[in-house]
Amino acid sequence: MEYISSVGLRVLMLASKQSKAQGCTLAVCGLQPVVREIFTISRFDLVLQVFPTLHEALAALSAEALAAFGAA
Amino acid sequence: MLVRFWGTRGSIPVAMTSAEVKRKLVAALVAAAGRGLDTPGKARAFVEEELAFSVSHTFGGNSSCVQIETGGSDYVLCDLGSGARVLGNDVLATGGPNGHRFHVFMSHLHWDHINGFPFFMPAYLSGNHVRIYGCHDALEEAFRRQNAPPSFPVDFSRMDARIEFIRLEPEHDYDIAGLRVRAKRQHHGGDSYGYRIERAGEVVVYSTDSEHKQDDPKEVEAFVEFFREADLVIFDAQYSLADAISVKEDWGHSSNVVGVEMCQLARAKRLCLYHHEPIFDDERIAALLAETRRLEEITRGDHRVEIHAAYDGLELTL
Repeated sequence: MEYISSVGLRVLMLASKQSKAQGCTLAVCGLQPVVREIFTISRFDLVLQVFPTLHEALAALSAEALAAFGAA
Repeated sequence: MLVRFWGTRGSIPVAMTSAEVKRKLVAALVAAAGRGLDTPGKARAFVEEELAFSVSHTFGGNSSCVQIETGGSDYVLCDLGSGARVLGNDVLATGGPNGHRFHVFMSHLHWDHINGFPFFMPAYLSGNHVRIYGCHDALEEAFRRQNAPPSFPVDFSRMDARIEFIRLEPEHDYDIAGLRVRAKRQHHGGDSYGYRIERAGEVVVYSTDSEHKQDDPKEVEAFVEFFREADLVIFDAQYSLADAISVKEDWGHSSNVVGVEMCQLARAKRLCLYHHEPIFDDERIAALLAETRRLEEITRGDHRVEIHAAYDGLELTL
């Protein structure tokens, strides 16, 4: 994904709220440079967890998922 | 048209603290070290041409008031926040005590948009004429109540200027003071109204205290049409997008990100960030401006939007 608009960010915010309500955590990873900048400018990097790679995201969020990812 | 900003701060007027003044002085003196600024001319040139805006200036702390200069003798204003006090004093100092006519378009009646009027000296002087336009039922009541006990010692009846309150209907075109004016209802507690103001092919949109929830494509399109090919859009950018749609959802304000997107869609020429967050210091607003310019750059298609951040005293010629 090379661009995200405010509408797209709003969808992520809604998804994050729904995830929290279900005891889950929504995070994003592997952002393209422009999207990473948009996250910073919109301050979404302060309300969503952002990781450089999927491996780092899984390592931070779920050992079980990380193991499954490593086994795949 | 020339647009002059007298008050640009959101929610409540603020004043720079002595600590902030000291920080600016230290930064300026360090930057000037070894520069041989031994005359006022050299020092002034250094301040104006080399120092960062956030060191040499301030964005200011007066609440909403914008003047649109049309070339006519009447004054055209948007909102009567505390910036109106400064404007009123300037009018009297430069143009004498009376014979002035003002046309004011009110976005809404929250205190930061009306609190300059009790200190608007032309309103106390006979021979002046103040016409206040707005779409709210309580337009006149809000002003009279503000100038009455227990809120204020000088009653509204002591204002000797001729003061009129004129109700406008949104989505109607009006010809006022040589301008074509159209109001649009906006999402804000108790409603607010934006104004599209046109004259001789030039367009200014004043859109403050307006939350854009973007959950209805028709509403988004309606605002894009309201902003369509404007020479200048004065836009409420008080919050970050993340705050505006999370902890501050339904607080009635918008963000720089949405401002850029809407002006790009509308192919507006200039976006002016307005109604600054009162807790932001000058460095923070300057950083916000730089980030917004960068956002416009990385998301630009075939149309460039010029980005400004309003400050008390800014003049933009269209």
